[in-house]
Amino acid sequence: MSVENAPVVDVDEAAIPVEKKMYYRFESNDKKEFRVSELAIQQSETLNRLVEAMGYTSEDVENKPAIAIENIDGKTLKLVFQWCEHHKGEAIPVDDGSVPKIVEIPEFDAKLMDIDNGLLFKLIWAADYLNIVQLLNVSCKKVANMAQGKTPAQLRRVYLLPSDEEDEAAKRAAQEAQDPRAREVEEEFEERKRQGGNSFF
Amino acid sequence: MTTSPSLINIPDLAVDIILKNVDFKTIFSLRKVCRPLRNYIDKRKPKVHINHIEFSMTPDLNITVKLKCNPKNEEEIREIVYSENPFVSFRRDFRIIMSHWKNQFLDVFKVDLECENPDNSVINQLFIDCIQSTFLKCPNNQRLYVMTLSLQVTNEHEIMRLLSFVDPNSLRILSLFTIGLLDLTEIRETDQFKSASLYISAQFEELESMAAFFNRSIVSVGLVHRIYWDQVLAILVSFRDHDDMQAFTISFLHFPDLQLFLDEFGEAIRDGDTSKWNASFVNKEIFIEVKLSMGFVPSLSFVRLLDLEEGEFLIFGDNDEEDEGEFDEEDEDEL
Repeated sequence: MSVENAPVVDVDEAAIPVEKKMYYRFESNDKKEFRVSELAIQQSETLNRLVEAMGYTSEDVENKPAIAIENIDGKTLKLVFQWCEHHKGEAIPVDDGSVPKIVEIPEFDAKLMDIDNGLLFKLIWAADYLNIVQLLNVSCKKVANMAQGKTPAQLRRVYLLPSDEEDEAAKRAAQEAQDPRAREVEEEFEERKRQGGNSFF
Repeated sequence: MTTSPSLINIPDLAVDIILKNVDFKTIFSLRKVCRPLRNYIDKRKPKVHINHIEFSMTPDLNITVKLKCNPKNEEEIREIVYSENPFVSFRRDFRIIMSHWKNQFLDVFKVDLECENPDNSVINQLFIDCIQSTFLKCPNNQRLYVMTLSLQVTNEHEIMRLLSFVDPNSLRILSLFTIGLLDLTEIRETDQFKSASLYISAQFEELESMAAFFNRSIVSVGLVHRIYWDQVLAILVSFRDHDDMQAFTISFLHFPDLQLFLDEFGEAIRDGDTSKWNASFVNKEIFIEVKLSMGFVPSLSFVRLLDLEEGEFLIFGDNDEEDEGEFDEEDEDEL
């Protein structure tokens, strides 16, 4: 996909180059393109190192292909970059591992994370992959808040997790599905059932 | 990201942050959700901050464990009640709790066992065995650092066993409750007994070795069958000799020297069943309020007053050469 044809999502429209700031272009695995300010990128240790290593000039940013982030889809990446733009310039918390940090979820973040669980876990995965410490903290805090005080059965419902029994059954089914002999037996069984069923009519 | 992420396939760091942000009861629940989570939690042993552990067992052998584990919310106590296979479940959970619990300083450790029915002593022994075996598995085999230890048990043997788990230097308050007569002979020799404030609710024929109760902030003892005048004097003198002593209360059934006490203390400020005096010592800035309550269970209480209040003070002599406090000459003459 050429740069001209790519759908461009401006995450921080209000701040688009009024002053001479560098905006990097990133592309999700489903070919959505994002322009992200240099300062916002600093929230992600992974991306910050990447752009530093690339040493792009303003022209390079415009002329070279967007930097591909192959593991993350556009929907998730949009949330990630919205978060980074909103929190750009903020200090990155350091975890010294001593006492658990009391993480409060700011209003903006709470609204941003008002999403289904699947997307929330993708966001967590992306925050970890891109090493965005505070986004990882708040998104995990949100999951923790959802879990707080729930019974195992409620937790399974909230997080769509199988119980051990269901897990075993699913594993067996998967194994059987992979086992050609099992599939043959299954097909034969179905066939016989059909024949037997037909004989009633 | 080949499969869609969920709680069981997000990165370890994220799971660790989630586990840091939930209380212990939720960690317990998460453990029971499915095998991958259980394996992860058992492997990582997320640190739980518990500052209050309370075990209780009812006569029908329901076991309750209360854990105050949220340092942000002082009021929050998580409670786990075991009614089905209580002992087995409690044992299993308690071992898990202890294996996760790395913060070994507790505000309160309370064991409240069924002590009215002596037949339950076998169960109590099992319960204490379980606590003991779990503590023995704690990292470095450390003793429990706890500020307030509260034990409601059947007898002195159970107290001795539970005391042995506790580090004596950390203990500030020791609360003992038994229904019948309690033999303190061994207990008072323990380091755990020697410096903590005491709240003892048990029966004693007489309090032997009064000195064992002194040199600590607060003492409350009941129920002593007989108390004597020389013991009352010893308590008063202990306030003079031990600056730390703030309050001493003792409930009793009989006070054979009551008349002598009343004669010596003289006219009291009366309030219903309670008589009150202020006492002091010659040349000492020590003021003690003495209260005698003759209610359903008579009691004597001594409280150190911080400020000199107006009113009459009964002045006791300050004979450093003598062992026990004596009255000044005038008082002795009266005797």
